[in-house]
Parts: sequence; structure tokens; C-alpha cells
Amino acid sequence: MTSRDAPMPAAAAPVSATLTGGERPTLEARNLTLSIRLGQRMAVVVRDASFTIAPGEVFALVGESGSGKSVMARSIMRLMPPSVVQMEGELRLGDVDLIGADPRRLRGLRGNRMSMIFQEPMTSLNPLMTVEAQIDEIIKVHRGGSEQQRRERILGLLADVQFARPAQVAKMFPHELSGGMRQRAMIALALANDPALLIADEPTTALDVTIQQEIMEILMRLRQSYRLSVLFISHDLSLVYRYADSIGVLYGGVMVEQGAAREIIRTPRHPYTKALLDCIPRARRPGERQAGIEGSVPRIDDWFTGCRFAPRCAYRQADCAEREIPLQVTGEGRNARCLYPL
Amino acid sequence: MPLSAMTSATEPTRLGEEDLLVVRGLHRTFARPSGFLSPPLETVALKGVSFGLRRGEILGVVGESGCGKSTLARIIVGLETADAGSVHLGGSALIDVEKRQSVPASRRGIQMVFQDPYASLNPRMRVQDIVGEGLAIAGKLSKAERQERVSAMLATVGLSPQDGERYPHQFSGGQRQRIGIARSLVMQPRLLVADEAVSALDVSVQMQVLNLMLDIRERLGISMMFITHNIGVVEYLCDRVIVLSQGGIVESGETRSVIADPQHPYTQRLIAAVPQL
Repeated sequence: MTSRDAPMPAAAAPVSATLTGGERPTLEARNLTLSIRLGQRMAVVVRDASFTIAPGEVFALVGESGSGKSVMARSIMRLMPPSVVQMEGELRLGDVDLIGADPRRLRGLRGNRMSMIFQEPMTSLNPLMTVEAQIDEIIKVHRGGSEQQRRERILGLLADVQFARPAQVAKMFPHELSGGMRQRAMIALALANDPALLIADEPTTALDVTIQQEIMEILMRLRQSYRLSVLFISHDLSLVYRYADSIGVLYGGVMVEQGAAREIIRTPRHPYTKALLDCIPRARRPGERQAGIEGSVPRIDDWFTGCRFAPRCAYRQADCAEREIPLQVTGEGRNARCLYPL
Repeated sequence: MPLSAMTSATEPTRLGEEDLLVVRGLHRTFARPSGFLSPPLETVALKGVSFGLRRGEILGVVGESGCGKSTLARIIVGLETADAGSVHLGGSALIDVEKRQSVPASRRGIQMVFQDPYASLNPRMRVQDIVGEGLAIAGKLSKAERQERVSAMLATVGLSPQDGERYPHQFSGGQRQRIGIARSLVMQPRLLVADEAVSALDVSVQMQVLNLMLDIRERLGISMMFITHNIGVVEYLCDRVIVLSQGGIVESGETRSVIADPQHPYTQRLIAAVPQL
């Protein structure tokens, strides 16, 4: 009857989030702590985060503004200099140690082994270069090849992101493209050198919902054909539910819950995850109200003792604010940082 | 001109006596004059839009970017002019292009809440001055009366009177949107037009603002036109909904029935695009 009853597109079918047969993860973070310079001192913005992303896996990092998810993304890309962001713990892209890598090594990785797309494609594309020239530049820098080969590669990439007439789009400037087309061009640019990891920081937030779906379907198709690992950053749990294999919920700089996407959304164990889900507006009966979350996210430089979410938590107990909360295993392949998981 | 001649492909939304707002055959074309090398360009933003909004109702307006929904809101509020058509509020004409009538925005009894709570508040003004500015310009109340109205309104939207002394940058996004809502409501409008008023907010804050909207409607009986592209928000907040596509209304009705059985391909795509949890 209604189109919402239609089966989900095949591209959204989950692939196993677990690693098969000792395969090395594309990205691995172990006890990663990130501090940012605030005037004279360093403030911890992400504390003790561990996660892995397998080849072909879509891992979603979910959180409200101020949770630290964009700092995490930019730190993985090493877009911020060590003088601004200090990284402790372990962070590896395949067999490369990202924390120890020197600038020269990082330049060889960015746009090549790992690339990133942003919320607003217009500000990441060069307004004075055609789509073709921008993609060509990044292929030339990392791979080279004859002009003929590069040209073929560019047209192939543009076809991959579903442009019906790649040759035509190749000659266009960013201002001649619509928002959705720009984001697709941006994806083609990001995939130009066949990266292992794509970081997508709220790639569809600025777009219309129907265009958003189009972009996500393209990304899902590509992650299969390119066996691409995707770190997908979003605040939209419904989007994450449809497209991610696994989820990490970040709150105030702490990963509060992690596991397979479907399980986390269907049976959230951390009260914050549940509260976030309850915030998604849906149909209601007259007089009924959905509860929001009172209060606001803790400031990044305010590290009080105990659970980060305790001040706003409806299930808070006395000891929640008394000590550090250990990571608890809450099921197969999932964990939560909560003393009293739901 | 008969109504049918002014509307595009579809039937106009029912226009009844009990409607607070009646919009008939609204047209708007934006023209860019020819430039040094470029030919003139015409964009049709609205091609004959007609609908009614009942008293005390929250009417959702949905549609893709560029469908004309913001232009529609701006014409009703008075930030933009129409090429043809009319807008009536409570029986009196606000705009009647044929009769060359247009009531100034300040006297329409309509207020607007904007999308970006960071861009729509003057960073150099205290919150109490931002909220009280409209009253001060209207000049009908003494300073003491104004202050009283402002603090009462701050309380209504869930802010404390002391918050009036502070500046916008001292507030979070959700609190800023509350300030924007207080600024609109203090003028005691009959209609509130909200253009993507919760789209820029985090989900937790979004729910707080949506609940505030529902509370305000209950307490003040105010009618609202709520522009959004989020079907979830429409389901939660709106009694009825109109769907705009390429400058015309392509579907309208009770929210529940439109969402349960969407007829127009765009509405169907819009609803399918929202994953159900």
C-alpha cells in the first residue's frame, strides 16, 4: 500500500560487522584520547575511544553537536596539526600508524588511502576548476598515468556516482551543479584513488531528504563495488539505522554504546541511546508528548567524576556520579558504558 | 477571475469560513535581468497557490528545496511581494494584487520564526531588547509595560527573567530558538510562520522546541504554518499538511491520511525516504 511498507533496497542489507578470518581492519582505534588546545592548556575532547572498521563496513559515529565526532573525524584524517590536537593511544589505517606518521607520509595517505567528504560540498570544491580538472589533479598527484588513462578513470568515476552524462558533467564548474550533484562530484573526487577508508562527515545534512536518500544509496553501492570502509558521521539515527552496519554512540567525548546497528537501535542498553531514539518525532495521539532530553551536553572542558550522561539521565542512581564508569559487555559484540544498562 | 482559473493542475485546498488564513491564486516569478553576457532568466516560484489555514491549526508545508515554500512564507509575512493573488487573515485582506492592496508587514498580525538561530539574532543586543524591539517600535506601551510583557514571554518559552540581561552568544542553539519564538510571540500575532525552525537543531533540542510549539498552541490558541522537510516533524506537530512541488500544491489533507496513503509521486518519495525505526 504505502511506499514505506516497501522492502528496503538491497544495497542497505547489512554485511557482517565482524572480521572474517583474521582480516586486518581498515581502521583501528585503541584507547584513543584526543585533546585540543584551549589557550594555554589542553582540553580532552574525546576520551578512551576504541573501535574498528572492517573492509566494506559502514561504521556510524552518532552524537549531538559538541560530542566530539567531528574532532574525531578530522583527527583520523590528521587534518589538525599536533600543536592543536594531541593524540594518545593507538590509531592505525591498515598497517600504518597514523599518530606517528610524519607529514610527508600523511600527504601520501590523504586523498589516496583515506579521503573525506563534508557537509557542504560547495566549500570543499574549488569554484574555479571544472569537475574534471579537480579529479584529474588528485589522480595526477597520487597515481599518475597517461592523460588518456586519467580521462577514462574520471568518466568512470562520474558514471559510478550516477551521472547520466559524465562527459558533460566533467566540463562543468561547481556553481553549475545542484547541491546533490555537488555532493556526488565530491564523492567521485574522494574515490578517485580507490581509498580503503572514506570518512563522511554529515554528508547529507544540507540536502533535501529525497536527494539525501539518493546520495546514501550511491554510497552504499560504491562501498560494495569498491569494498570501501566508511566512517559515517551523523546525528540522524533513522538514517544510521538504514545504512550503517555498526554504530558508536558518542556523548560528551565518551563512546557510551557500541555494537551492531540494528541491535543498538532496536534494544538500546545505554539510557542516552534510548533517550536519543525517543527524540525522533513520530505520529502521536492528541495530548500525548514525546519526552526530549532536558538540559544540555556537558562542556568539552568540564570533566566531572562519573557518567557523562548522569546529570540528564532518567535512570540515574547515586553511584553513577561517584566513580568512573567501566565499559560493560552488554551482548555479543556490543558494549555500553553504564552501571545499570537497560 | 474564477478561482479555478488561478490554480494549477490540482484542486485548491478547501477554502472555508472558519479559516483564519485564506490564500488564493498566489503567483510569484523571479526575474534576473540580462547581464553583460547572460540572457534574462525567469524562475517561477509560485504558480497559483490556494489554501486555507483553520483557527488554532498547525498546518505543515512540505516540499523539496526550490519548490517555493519559503517564497510562500515570505509573501504571507510580508517580506516578499506577489505578482498575482490574494491573502486574507481573519476576513480582511492583507494582500490583494488585483486591488493593489498590501498591508505593511508590521501590521499584519503575523510573525515569523527563522531557521538559523545563530544568524537571526543581533549579537550586539541583549535578549530583552531583542524580544522587546518590536513592542518598542510599535510604541504603544510604556517601558515598564514592555519589560513586563518581555519577562512574561521569556517565562512562557522556558527562559528565566535574568536571561533577558544576557547576549545571544551566551545561549545554546535551542535556547536561541526559544528567544526567536519569544520575539515573535510577544507581538501577540494571530499567525506564526515557522520556516524550518527546528532543522538546524540537535534532535534532543528539536523535541524540546516542538513540544514548546504544542504548548504555545494550547495555551495561546495561536495558529501556525510550519515549513519543514522532515515528515517525522509533520506527523508529530501538524494537523494538516500541504505538499508543494514546483510552485504548486500537489497534495493536501489531514496529516494522518496524507502520510498513510500519499497520492503524489513526490509525497511518496518523501515518505519512503524516511526510514522507520
